[in-house]
Amino acid sequence: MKAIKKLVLGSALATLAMASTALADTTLNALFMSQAAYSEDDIKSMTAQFEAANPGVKVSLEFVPYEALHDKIIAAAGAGDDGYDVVLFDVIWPAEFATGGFLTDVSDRIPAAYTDEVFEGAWTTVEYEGKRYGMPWILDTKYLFYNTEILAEAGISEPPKTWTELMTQARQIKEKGLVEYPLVWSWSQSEAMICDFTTLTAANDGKFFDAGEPAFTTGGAKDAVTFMKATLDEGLTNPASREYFEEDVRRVFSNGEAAFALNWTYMNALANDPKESKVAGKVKVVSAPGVEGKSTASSVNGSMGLGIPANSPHADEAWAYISFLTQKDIQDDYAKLSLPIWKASYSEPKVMEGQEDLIAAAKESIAVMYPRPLVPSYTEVSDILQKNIHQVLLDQAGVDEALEAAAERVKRIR
Amino acid sequence: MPENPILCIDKLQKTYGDAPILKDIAISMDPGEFLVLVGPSGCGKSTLLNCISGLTDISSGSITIAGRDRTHAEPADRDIAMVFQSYALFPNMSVERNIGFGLEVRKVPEPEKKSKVADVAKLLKIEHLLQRKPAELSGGQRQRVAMGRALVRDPELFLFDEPLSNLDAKLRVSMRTEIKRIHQTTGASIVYVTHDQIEAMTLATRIVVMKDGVIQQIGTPNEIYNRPVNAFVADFMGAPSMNLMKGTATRQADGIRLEIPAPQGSTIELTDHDTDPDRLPAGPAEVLIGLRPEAMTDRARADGRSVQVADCVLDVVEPAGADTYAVVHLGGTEAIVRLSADAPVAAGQMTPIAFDLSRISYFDVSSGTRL
Amino acid sequence: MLGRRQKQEKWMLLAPAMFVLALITLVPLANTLWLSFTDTRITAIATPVHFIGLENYVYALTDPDFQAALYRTLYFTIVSVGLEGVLGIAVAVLLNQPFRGQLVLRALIILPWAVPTIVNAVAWRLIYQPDYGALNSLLYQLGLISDYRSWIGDPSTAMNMVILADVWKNFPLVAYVALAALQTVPGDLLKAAAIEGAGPWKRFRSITLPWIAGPLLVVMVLRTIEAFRVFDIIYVMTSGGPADSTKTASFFIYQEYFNYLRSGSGASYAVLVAGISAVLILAYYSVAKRQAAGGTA
Repeated sequence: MKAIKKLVLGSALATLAMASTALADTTLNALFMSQAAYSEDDIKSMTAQFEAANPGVKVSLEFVPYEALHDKIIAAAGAGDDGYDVVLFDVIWPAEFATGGFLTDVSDRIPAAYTDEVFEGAWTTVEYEGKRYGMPWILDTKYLFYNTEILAEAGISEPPKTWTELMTQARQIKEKGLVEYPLVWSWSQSEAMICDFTTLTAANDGKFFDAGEPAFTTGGAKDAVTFMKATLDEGLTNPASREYFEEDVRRVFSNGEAAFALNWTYMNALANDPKESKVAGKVKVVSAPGVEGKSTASSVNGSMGLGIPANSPHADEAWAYISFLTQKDIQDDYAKLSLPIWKASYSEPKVMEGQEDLIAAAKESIAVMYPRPLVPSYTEVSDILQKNIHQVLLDQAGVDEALEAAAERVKRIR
Repeated sequence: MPENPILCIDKLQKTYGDAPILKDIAISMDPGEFLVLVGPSGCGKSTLLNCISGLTDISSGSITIAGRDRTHAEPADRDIAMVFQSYALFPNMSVERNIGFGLEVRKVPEPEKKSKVADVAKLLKIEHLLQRKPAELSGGQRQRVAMGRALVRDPELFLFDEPLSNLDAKLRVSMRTEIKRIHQTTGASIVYVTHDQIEAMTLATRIVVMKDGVIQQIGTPNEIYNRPVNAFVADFMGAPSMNLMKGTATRQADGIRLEIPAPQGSTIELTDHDTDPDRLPAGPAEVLIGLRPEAMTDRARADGRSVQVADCVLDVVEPAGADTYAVVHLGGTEAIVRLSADAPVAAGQMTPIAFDLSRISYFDVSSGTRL
Repeated sequence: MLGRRQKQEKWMLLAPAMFVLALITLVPLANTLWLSFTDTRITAIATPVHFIGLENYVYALTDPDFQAALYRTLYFTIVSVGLEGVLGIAVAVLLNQPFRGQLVLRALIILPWAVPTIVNAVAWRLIYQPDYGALNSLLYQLGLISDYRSWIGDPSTAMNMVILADVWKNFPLVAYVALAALQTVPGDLLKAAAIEGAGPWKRFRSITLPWIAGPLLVVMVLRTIEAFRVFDIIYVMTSGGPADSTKTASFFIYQEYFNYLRSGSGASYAVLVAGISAVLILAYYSVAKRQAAGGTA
């Protein structure tokens, strides 16, 4: 009798144990971006490695264009348990997301040692008012890419160090008839344009806001817009740039139809890949130029981080996934399309191999990464700037007129 | 050929694909005539009317209206007006605008147009309806509006396409009189299509009988009625239709001896003194003998030597108010005799019937043509 | 007339359907209306909400950007629906004539309308592409342009090109309704008009058009309401650019809600757009009543 009781009890407990392990099988919903930085294949293989190391946790991946990322995160906030568990967010959103309570405060989860091991510019990606809302994952900025063959044919030996020098070199190339439009940019009415605008503003030592008031109607910011317009007026910038996104810039440059282009890290590997580019092997990269007397290089902080939405029921598993993706070894393995956040990585052979010029440029650019305004209403500020700067580029408004109008409108933001 | 015919159709053919619809049509019509095209369904009368109007193209031949060749002219350039069976009133326009539409298209000045419309409305007694819409009118009123639209332009030729077919019997009779009155008042030249041979007989100055796309006969109502050109015309026109009896005709010295088989092997023998014997073939020949019911009556009405009497068995007796009709089996057909209303007759009875041979017609047995 | 008992039954039978209808239309409507009078924002944490009366409406109506957007939306609606009407009727008239392959063509014409709006928008974007698009290629080969140019990147042409893509997608609906209506025109009417001397254009204007006006009006009202609220085709083709030249009123709803997370303000824009749509519907309704009753010459 006793033996049977034990047997029954034992098997009951065993079943329960098995059931609870089965219950512990979680699926995480993760939201990523489908262009620039890591490719979908990269992310899938990183995820496969994570799943192998963490049996019982599965990750369901979703990729959307950058332009849709913000709205998806907001919309999913209302989805309760069925929303996302891990989301990729842009450096310009922590202020907005923190104020609205969309992301979980993970300051306590981050080991204190990391603060020094990761670049300062990477931390701004996830910080707001002293708290951290995720781990930086993509450390990115725009570099100046140039076509070595075209430059050589134009008799130019060194890439430009200042924006003025860039103009001069572009003129030379155009006069020699090597390319009709030496410069190509991503100046569609979108965030991509603001990234270029920010780079130029940083170079000219300009400001967006000063003590809470719009400061972009004068100084460096105004110089930036004036510069952009000038390159169009002189026929140095491809006029179709006003419709382009980063992928269009990559396509035009990879076709050999431009001498210079400003783009993110990911373009380096692809422009040098014979399967993707006609100019493979002729592409080099340096930091975006500076302005004489004001800067030696310029760059915009285009980093992105991984965070946990406030409504996720699997915060622990989500954090495990984020930790895995952001760890140094994984980042070093996939350093071809996006550079690591860890300072030590930049002396690792496997990171440097094949992209020495990129690493050298990165060291310089990352040090001067310039943020866009870290305000909760940034989206609206950006929309206003986009529209008004676009009007300047389309010859519909003068520089002063447009920037004044933008400042007025910004003041009216509620 | 009369001088200045209002309508002259010459050698008109119409084929639809391989099928011939109208064959070799030739008509000449004088101004002021009321020409009725009549025939069974499918005879081509409506098609012919559409050809005259220009709504349908012809395959060959010519059409001349008021002295000008209009064979290839558009309907609007033929100086015609048409009244449709369905009236074809424009539902979104008032009666006044409907009537004046043709003038509106021709950009006639407003005051002139208004007065012409008013005149026509007066003629047709519809002045009180001018501001109404067609949907608010009765069938007879719509009919008048349709006629008004045709009259107001004072065209050379009026075309009517079965305009009374949609009306009830009583209204039809009164409208028929109305149309005749308008014809007499205005002296218009009218081509009128109908399948109703009574309408044809009462309205027409001349009738065109058609069958299978071919004109059978053109003539005055009298000619059509009394001297039909073939058995079809004889049978189609007149109600009840002419009796066509098979019989033997033998030429004799004083006339034509007729033998008409009657039921039970007997024969009715008559002698025709009125007809010229040369019209018939020599020797005894089988012919179709045509006599209208009013030419086969009871004794009370018979007189003169054209009238001969023979006894016949009455099969069915139908009292019809003013007359009594009876069916008699003669010459292989059910002949109808017309008896007086109070004739003391009963079915199955042997009755003397008076045959008025001055009204006789002879037709060839196989072809049906008049002899 | 229904007896009292039957009237009650009638309402009882209708009640479930009306309840569902109220739930899915009136409740959100009331909610939106309430939202529009507050300063609610979209947040994942609880935030205090204040009643601010008409402040949202004042802000919206005094915003020169929104005013400009309203004009643009009106322009889009009038031109797009107008072109759809003209093109739809013209195609219907053509398809009403007997010719070889008529039935095949009638079936094919529905295809643009059957394509989802997004797909249509993406397809036209490719056609308008400044570097390798089919439009540039065609015009260049025909000698109509000397250089490839930007179409939806140029503020002076962007709106019209979007309208073109929209008309292309929607005219088959008008064509089909017009074609069905054309086939009901009695042949005798047109024959009578021809005999009275009316040429093809006069016949069309005075007889055919009034005859098909009824069903045509219905489809035009539908299209007007949809056109006024246009969003998806613009979002996909131009995202409101370049330089806001294709930003319509509905965009403000989207922006306020999703981009700026101001749900109270977004609701006020939504109410404004819905309100103007209602005015348009009423205008059409009164014209339609006049048509049905008296009829215009």
